[in-house]
Amino acid sequence: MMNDTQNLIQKVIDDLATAEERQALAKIVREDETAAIEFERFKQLSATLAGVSSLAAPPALHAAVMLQIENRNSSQLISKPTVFVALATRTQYQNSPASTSQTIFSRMETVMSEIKKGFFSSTMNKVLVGGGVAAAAVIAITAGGNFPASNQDTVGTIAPAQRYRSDQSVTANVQPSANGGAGSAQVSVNTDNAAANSASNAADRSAAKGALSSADKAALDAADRSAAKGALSSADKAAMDAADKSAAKGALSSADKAAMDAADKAAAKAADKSAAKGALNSADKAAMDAADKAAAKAADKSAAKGALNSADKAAMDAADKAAAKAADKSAAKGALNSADKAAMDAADKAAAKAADKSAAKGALNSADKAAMDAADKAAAKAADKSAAKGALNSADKAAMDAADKAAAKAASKAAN
Amino acid sequence: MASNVIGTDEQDQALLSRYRGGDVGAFSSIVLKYQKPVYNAAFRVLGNVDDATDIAQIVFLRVFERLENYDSQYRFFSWLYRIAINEAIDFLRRTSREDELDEDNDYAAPEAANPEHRYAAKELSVCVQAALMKLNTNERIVITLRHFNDCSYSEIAEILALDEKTVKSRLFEARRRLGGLLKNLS
Repeated sequence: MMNDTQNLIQKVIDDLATAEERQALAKIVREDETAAIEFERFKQLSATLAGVSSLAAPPALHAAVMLQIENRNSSQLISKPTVFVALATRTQYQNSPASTSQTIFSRMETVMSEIKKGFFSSTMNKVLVGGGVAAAAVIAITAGGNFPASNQDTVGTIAPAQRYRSDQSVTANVQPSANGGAGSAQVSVNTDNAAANSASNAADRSAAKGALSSADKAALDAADRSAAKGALSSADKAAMDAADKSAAKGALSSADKAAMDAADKAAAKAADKSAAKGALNSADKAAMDAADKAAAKAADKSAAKGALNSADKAAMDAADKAAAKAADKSAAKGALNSADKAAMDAADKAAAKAADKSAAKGALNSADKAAMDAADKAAAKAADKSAAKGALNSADKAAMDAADKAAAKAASKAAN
Repeated sequence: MASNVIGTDEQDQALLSRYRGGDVGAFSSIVLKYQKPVYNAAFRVLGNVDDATDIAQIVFLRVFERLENYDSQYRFFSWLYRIAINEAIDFLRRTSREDELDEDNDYAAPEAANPEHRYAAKELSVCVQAALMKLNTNERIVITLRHFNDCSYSEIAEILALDEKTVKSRLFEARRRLGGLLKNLS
């Protein structure tokens, strides 16, 4: 018997518990480890069973059921093979709302056609089968066996059994004949034993004939049942095989397609990733290269700038130095030129002054020579000392002195 | 407990009324409507697709035979399931094949399911069926009616001609055993 906790667990699992009952169970589960384990196991079981998908009904089940029901409804099927009923009733079911029966019956028609060929194409087979079953039936009658079979012995094959019982009119026909034979026998006992024996034999023959007829029918029924069962089984199996194959093929195709799709997607994804990675790598590389170049360029620029700066500085320094040097040289040259010029000017002036003063030619030459020597010396001295002014002054002075002296000497000579 | 059994009894009664009025197509509709639950119930109890197919066929023929005896004060599907359960039990008694397990039930998965889901569904179905077959018949029946046919306690009680208390107790014990078996199987 279930205790209260178990009752609560089952109520919660079946979604029948009230809010109060759920809270009560939650409290119990918190306090009782055994109850908690059992509750968890029940929840898992419920979830597992909910995940089990239901089976599809066999494709031929509906058709098989309706076929047998149609057989029972028909009172004219005794002498006809049951397998033909499917073909006879096909049109009727095609017009019914049960549209799925169309394909089922179409399949069954093909299967039954094949079965029919296999079982009934040979007349000899039919005769042999019918004869064998008839002989077995006669033996069963003579041996006093259980024939016709009772309802309890026809488990699983209800339709043929009932159909057979309806055929007992044949047996019933025999019964009055037997009674008639008995009546004749009563008469014959009073008149003639031979007649009685004859009547009895006739009754036996009639009974045997009836039995044979019944046996034939039973044989045909058995054959029908066997054929029908075989046909149904074959149809079921064929339908199921076909369904299995179709499902398997579909699954395979789906699997292939899914695999190909997945492969494509994976490839595409991988390609994307690869491309992205490649691109990233390329980008990285490019970036790094660019960075390197930029850095190099920057470095170059920096270096260049530095160098430039240095060069500039050096150049400027050099320029400065060169300029200074040039300036020095220029100054010296200028000083020299100035000295030369000054000397020449002084000489010119002295010469002119000497000429003005009617100085002799010798004096002029000496004055020129002295002036030139003095100018050269003064210029050289001024250049060496970089003091053009001093040199000039000296040169001027010397030149003037020399010119004065030369002029004085020349004037003195001229005066003399 | 609310019943989740397909359709309503009013619909079934309407179909039966039409059939009694001579509409053979109404019985065809009944077969179409109930062939799947009846077949599934038979399979879960018997564990074999061929046996389940035979029993499902016999069940509908029994219904056809006994329809005049059906008492409409009971729900039609309860009456139908009762016939199905009784036929399955009779079959087990006759054949003593309670321990047989049919693993060839791979067409259980929906066709639309992808191969992975189909394979997983088959594996789960086989595993659960293996555990079910280790229960006794009565336990297997209550589990089947409750979990695979969505019957309520009262419906199970009606189908099995038991009182609800017995149904609850039997279901609890069946669940407890099945949970243990599935834990071991997994």
